[in-house]
Amino acid sequence: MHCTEGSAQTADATECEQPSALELFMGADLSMRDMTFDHLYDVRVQLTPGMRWNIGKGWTADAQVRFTVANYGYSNREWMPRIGIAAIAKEFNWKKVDMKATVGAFSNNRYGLDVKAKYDPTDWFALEAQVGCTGMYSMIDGWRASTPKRFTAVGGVDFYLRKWQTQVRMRGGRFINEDIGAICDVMRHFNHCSVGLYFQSNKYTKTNGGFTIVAMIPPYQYKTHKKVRVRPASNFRLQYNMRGDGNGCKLYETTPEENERNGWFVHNSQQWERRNSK
Amino acid sequence: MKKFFSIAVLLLSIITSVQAQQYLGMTGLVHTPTAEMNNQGDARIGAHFLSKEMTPNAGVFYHDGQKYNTGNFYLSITPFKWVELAYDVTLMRRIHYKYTHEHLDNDGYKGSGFHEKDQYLSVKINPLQEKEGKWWPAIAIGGTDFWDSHNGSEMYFGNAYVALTKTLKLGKKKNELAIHLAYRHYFRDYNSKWSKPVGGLTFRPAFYRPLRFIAEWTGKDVIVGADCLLWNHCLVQASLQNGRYPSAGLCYQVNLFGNNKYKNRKNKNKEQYENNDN
Repeated sequence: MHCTEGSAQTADATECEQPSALELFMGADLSMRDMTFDHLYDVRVQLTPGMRWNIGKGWTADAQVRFTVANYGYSNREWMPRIGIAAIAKEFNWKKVDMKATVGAFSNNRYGLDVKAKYDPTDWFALEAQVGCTGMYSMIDGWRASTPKRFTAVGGVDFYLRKWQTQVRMRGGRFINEDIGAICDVMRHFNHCSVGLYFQSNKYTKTNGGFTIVAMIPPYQYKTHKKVRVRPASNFRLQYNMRGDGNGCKLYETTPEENERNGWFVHNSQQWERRNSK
Repeated sequence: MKKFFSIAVLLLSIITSVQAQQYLGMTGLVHTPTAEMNNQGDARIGAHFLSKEMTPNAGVFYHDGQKYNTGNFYLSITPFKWVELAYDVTLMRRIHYKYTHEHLDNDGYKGSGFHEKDQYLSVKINPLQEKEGKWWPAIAIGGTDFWDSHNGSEMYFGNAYVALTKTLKLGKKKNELAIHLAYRHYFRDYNSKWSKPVGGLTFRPAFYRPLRFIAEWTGKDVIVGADCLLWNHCLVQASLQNGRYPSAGLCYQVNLFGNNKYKNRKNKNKEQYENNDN
């Protein structure tokens, strides 16, 4: 079994010199899986309209809804519109550590509290951690939710090899399916695209891997400030999983535009990768 | 070997009428690897029609006792000037039965189709690059389909190789003639016909550099063909195996550093390397 998933995600606010107060965007999510022998792929296409409200002083509010517009091979329940993300986040700096706390509904049907931290003492090395306390929610057959008591904790190190514009990211910990595992990403950053390989090991698959592509879609920058900006998707993310393991080493996204290229933090001052690439 | 050199000389004498390319998304001849590399940052996405003689003699490439023509598609990238990576999917023809997502019903034969896939990775590393004015050839080592997620039962295309390439400038106009030699080892016995010294010649005319003529010896067959990069992005390829079996492909090629003008690419990439390396 193999899985390939791609999504054209929202315009990345970090690429904007002056992010707007309210950003409305439209993306699309393409999922493909190779599960059967009677057709080439199961295919699902979802429209993912969303919004970001840059409230100020490090506060942001994100929301995204998913509408399935094509479904070939996935469950009929996929046709149901659902919340992708609905969360409020606060970014702050605590003793030279960039931090972000988010509360709300995340991707992968998780909701609860998430805290991210990144400490970069040099321009080539950083420590990172992500801790979450979440539950599962579902909008299929009515609203259902479990108590948000599942604890996830992932920590690791980042090396940025500036000479080769390459990022090596090694993380390990406890993921949302209660599996303990480790992931190693090696990602090469190009002008408007990042391409990487990853390797992972967990209780479901001892050895697994694949590749990730994050490509920005023009326009790459908005130089004028608008209070409300309506924009198309500006980046496309595709991830290939060699063993089709949909459970191991899995986390959630807390913002619609979260990807490996731009990292966790919205504001330019906290973009470790971008700061190093200058 | 005597036969190989005889054929190479014969092909060289008729080289202006031959045509060819390769099918994995990697640089090379049609079926034979070379030590040539793409430019740093080059990415390809494409598809290829494969004649039945281009595929392994494994049982999965037979249908009703006969080998069948098929096709593949691929993504490839050259993240650094010394390494190329590719992800390939080859379509396989399969008999299948009535099947729904609610239940499996094997009592009804539904026909056959190209619904099964063989997915594999290719890698090529170029530790020694050719330099103009120096005598040594470029050297590359690499492999295809060298890892199997099904406990070694597949790896239909699995092979490893070492390749040498030497490019010669001919005449005042500097037409390019390249000589390619390689030894490759296929992991499966049904591919033993290709586990031999292989090689070929390529000719790139000075008046139109994007065009390349190819003649090669695969260890069993002679392939002639040509490829051409049109409009800086569209790579077209066509070949004829043993004068009987045609293959052809089309891919979109883009340089992720933005160096997409063919005539200036070598110089621009040289500057890019220097910028990146410093």
